[in-house]
Amino acid sequence: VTTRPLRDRYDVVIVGGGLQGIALGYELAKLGVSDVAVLDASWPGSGASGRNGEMIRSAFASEEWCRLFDHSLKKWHTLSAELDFNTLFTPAGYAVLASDEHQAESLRAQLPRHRALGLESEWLDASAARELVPAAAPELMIGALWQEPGGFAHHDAVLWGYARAAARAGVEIHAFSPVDRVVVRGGRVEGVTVRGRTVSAPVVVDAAGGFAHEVAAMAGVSLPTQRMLLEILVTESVQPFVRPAVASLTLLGYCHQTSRGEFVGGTEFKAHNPADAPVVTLEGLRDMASKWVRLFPQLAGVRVTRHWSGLVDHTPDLAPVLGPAPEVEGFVLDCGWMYGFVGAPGTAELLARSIVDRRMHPILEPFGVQRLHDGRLIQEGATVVPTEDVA
Amino acid sequence: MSDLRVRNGPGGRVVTFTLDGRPMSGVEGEPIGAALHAEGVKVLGRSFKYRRPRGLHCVADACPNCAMRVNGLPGVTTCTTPLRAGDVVERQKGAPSAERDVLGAVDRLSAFTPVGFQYRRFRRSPRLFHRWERVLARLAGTGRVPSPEAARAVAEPAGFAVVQADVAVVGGGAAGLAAALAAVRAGARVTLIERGAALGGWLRYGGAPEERVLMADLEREVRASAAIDCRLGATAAAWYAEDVLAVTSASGLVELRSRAVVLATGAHERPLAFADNDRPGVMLAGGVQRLLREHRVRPGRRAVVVTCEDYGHVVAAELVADGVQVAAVADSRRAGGAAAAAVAGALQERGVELLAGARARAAGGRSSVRSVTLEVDGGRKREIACDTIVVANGRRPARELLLQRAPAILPAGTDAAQPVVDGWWLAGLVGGATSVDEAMRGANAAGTAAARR
Repeated sequence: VTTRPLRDRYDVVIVGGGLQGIALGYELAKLGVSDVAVLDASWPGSGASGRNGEMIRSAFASEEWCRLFDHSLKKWHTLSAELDFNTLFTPAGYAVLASDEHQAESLRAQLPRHRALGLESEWLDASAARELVPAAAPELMIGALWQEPGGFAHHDAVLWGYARAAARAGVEIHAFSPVDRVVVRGGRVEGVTVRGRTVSAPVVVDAAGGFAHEVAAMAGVSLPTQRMLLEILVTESVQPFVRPAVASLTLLGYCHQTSRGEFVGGTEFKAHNPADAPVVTLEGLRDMASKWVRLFPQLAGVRVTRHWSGLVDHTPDLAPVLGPAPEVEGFVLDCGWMYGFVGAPGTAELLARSIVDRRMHPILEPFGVQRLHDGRLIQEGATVVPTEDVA
Repeated sequence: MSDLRVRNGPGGRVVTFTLDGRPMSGVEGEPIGAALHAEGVKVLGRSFKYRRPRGLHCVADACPNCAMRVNGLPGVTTCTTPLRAGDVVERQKGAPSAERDVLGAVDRLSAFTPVGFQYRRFRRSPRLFHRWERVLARLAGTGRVPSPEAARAVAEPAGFAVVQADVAVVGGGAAGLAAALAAVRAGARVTLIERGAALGGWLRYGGAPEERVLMADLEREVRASAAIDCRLGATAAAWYAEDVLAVTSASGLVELRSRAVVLATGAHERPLAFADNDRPGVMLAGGVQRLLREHRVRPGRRAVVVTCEDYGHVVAAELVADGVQVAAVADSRRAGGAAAAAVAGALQERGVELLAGARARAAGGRSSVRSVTLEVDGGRKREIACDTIVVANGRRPARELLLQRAPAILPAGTDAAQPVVDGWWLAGLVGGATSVDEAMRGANAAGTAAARR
């Protein structure tokens, strides 16, 4: 984080100092665009980047998702070396558990696509799955979609690594610099104002996470997104009993155990309040605690030490919105994320290139905002989210 | 009987239990940690990363230093968990034992593992990191997961009960009791939450004689009141967005709904920064008083008190009265107050050195305290042999619950009758009371106002 005063002009202003914004700043600098300011209303990582499930995979159902997230997954494997900072990425594998034949069938149906796209994934029957996740309750695991190169990383370490590398490349990260206006004149973005002070830039990126649609609205850009609260809990540290990252379709939950021994698990449940602040609910605690004890009975009696939430501003198809906003020239969207943590490294690289080339990279092209206005949603059936949420 | 036990103790049935399979004995109902302490066991566990020895420290269930595995359940704070016959107590870390942990070498080699080293090591070689991580995974985790029997016992009462009250009072010390009684007088039904096994708060072991009388009167009145639902051994663990308190206890989770909340959560003792201040044998003064006055167990045989307030002198006098040799009271101030002066004569008579303007710089000893190094007379170092360092460094309000709702620094000197945030009042030390009188007046005002909400 810079201590320098905000200047009057930058080549690019990125609104939002989360993982997306800071990684994008870093990638722009790598391409020679280092006159970049990343502005955060609070401290960097104070939104969903610092309140995160940390899970990493690329084996989704749709071609669009698989291509984008697999590009990112490959980056995850080399990111520590590139950033010269250990992100604590653990490629312990990622297992999506099926509890019934219907789920098993839908997971197996993804395999041909994975194979066609070169993704490493396989179907494990109950006994093979038990070898990898021996602690899971058998009735909740009749098989699993297994992605060996998947895993998890430490969300703070990733953010610190990117922030340090970005700052070294000349990017200015400004904390506590809330944007109150996006300046648009004649259909072109001209900059933003921070507490009334104008900061000019020909390119402004909306990477404002849970508050992305407010920032878009400042530019007169409408985003058909919806804010949602995601809660997660962390237990006291216990000796490792689950090695890979695990998601369960029945529980609508995802979890892993850190190398410190803390179990980290979140679930998604229908009755979340539309909240403007990352509050936590007793309903969330009950939902998570009872589900995780169901899947891992040995968790009964282990204390919950932390419970937090993050805000996402998700799209109807849960896919991100990437690329220029057609209404305002120079206003670029990098928001609508639900799977933003896993997607950040790859997206930042490709979006930076797209901004410099003034042409969307083919992997990012399907994620343009126009699809939402035209009702051409990306059909992705492998998310762990309550299906009623998906339009 | 252990020479650490004061002879005219509360008595009680002597029971046997095991530590890492070795037979031990203690008094039924006293904290497991106190029983172990009386048996001469100082190392109760090891720290997570540097494997430093850890022992009794706060005796108030406020730190993790005494966490052990008890009857198959990990992470049990033994400083406040009552001993029962046949308890199976285990230290969670250390190989072959917590006392002689071979991995204690990590601490001595800490130059190679500075804070945050994991972000710098192996960054260029993912493969080495992953191998290292597999080694770490074997060492990770403070305790093992609960045994199936322990897990079942915890899981069984897991009903989610809902309790309704007009006023919820959190904390069963003098302020909490006074607030509860005031609320009842104003017509409210009260649910009172106390995480300890008894009412009374710090006055039970730290108060003057007349304050203990006041406490006993309050307790009698609370127990006699039909409008107060008094829940001991229950912790108001969190406030949730549904505007409820989650109360945990051995019998499960209770959702406490109330119109108003009075927080009387008291204060935490502050530790003091000096080298190796985590050695077993470094204890907080209130914890020492609890051990001594409640459980009749001496913290050690020869103590040095380091303090910045009169309270440290008072505790020193209590130690001396109960047969603990006190080598010195090191007060960082140049001159003490009236309470310190009142006990100065008695201390000097028993050979206690009173050092003004002296600060603790380091604890000596490897697995437990063997000495303390003080800085006296503006720079001169002086080492004094002792097995106990008593830290009396003031208190800070226990605001954890409040901060969940109001993450901001509150103005000092708030009127106790005014809510601190909508629907919540503070009473006693958590609200900044500086005397028992002030706490009582404030608690009355807060309880009355809360009932009228």
